[in-house]
Amino acid sequence: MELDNLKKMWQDQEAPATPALEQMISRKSNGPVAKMKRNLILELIVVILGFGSVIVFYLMKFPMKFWSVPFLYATLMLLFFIYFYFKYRLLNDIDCMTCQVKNNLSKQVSTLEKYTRLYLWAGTALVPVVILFFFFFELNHFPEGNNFFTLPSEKISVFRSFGLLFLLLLAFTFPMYYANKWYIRKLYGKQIDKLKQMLEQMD
Amino acid sequence: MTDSGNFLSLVEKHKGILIKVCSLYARRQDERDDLFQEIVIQLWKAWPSFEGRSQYSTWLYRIALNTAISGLRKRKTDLVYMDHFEVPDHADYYTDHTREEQLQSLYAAIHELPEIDRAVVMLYLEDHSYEEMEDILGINQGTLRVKMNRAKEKLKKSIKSPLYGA
Repeated sequence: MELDNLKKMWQDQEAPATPALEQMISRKSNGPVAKMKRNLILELIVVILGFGSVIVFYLMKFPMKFWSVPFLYATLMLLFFIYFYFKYRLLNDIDCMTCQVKNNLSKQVSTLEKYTRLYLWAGTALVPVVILFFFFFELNHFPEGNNFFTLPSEKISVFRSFGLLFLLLLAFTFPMYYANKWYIRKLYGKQIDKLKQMLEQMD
Repeated sequence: MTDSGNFLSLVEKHKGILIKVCSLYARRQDERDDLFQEIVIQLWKAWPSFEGRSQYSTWLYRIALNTAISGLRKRKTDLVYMDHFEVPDHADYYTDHTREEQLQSLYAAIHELPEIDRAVVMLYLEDHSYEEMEDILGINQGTLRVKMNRAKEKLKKSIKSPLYGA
């Protein structure tokens, strides 16, 4: 067989000099998973700083008046922590470098799909949470007829307010779902397709 | 010898394998250097869990191939067809010009194969048995034989080498 004629030449290739291995092992990984982890930690820092600043600002500026604003941000921060925890756990579990190549690919595909599902649903759920907050915030802090949900000089029925709320939820949640879906596909779609394609090559 | 000393001497001893993996999954020299570094980092991360239950070479191949294959999206040039193939530097080490050309031709031909077939061909060229290939790749031996036969046919068509009979 002709390929066998090239075996010896292939095996006899001399390894060129490489940069110092000692230095390499002290560097950070630049692989896709390591980058995703670093981005996630960065996002967490941004959330802590951004949301933390709003909480501190409202507590200092309006200690009693708008208590629900820092409450919302603290709740959102807590939800973000839970969300980050699950995302980070998935990233820790995304690959098994010492496993057989096929097992590793299969693990990557299934974990990456779970990861993107979490990303999609968490990102979409954020919209109704924020809208619901503003709905109850306005009802609590502004007198009737002087806020967005109860228009001035109207005797607003509860049904009308909730109808408006429902329309707002529909108008923002659905587009957000599709926008998220598009964005996640743009971020991870090619990688998932490529991994699946390679997994198919193994069968 | 320290733990890192043991690790470094083993990697040094087998770095030829790592360089071949890098040459098969990255086309440009800078991409190959990055991939080499990433493989060394992954090996070092996995080193504490290496308990000698599998052979060192099996462990090394798995990590090297897993790193190369899972990082493919990053090396965008690998996803598109490129007319120009940069020959791995180590080909320059051969003073025999024909030999260098043959090696260049072989690398270019293997690059035309799908990613998984490249790994199969590499293990074949390194003289691994189908059992060892199965242990590294997780593909059953029957499928490996079929893949290898197809790869041989494809390589035969694309390699222009006297040794290859073209």
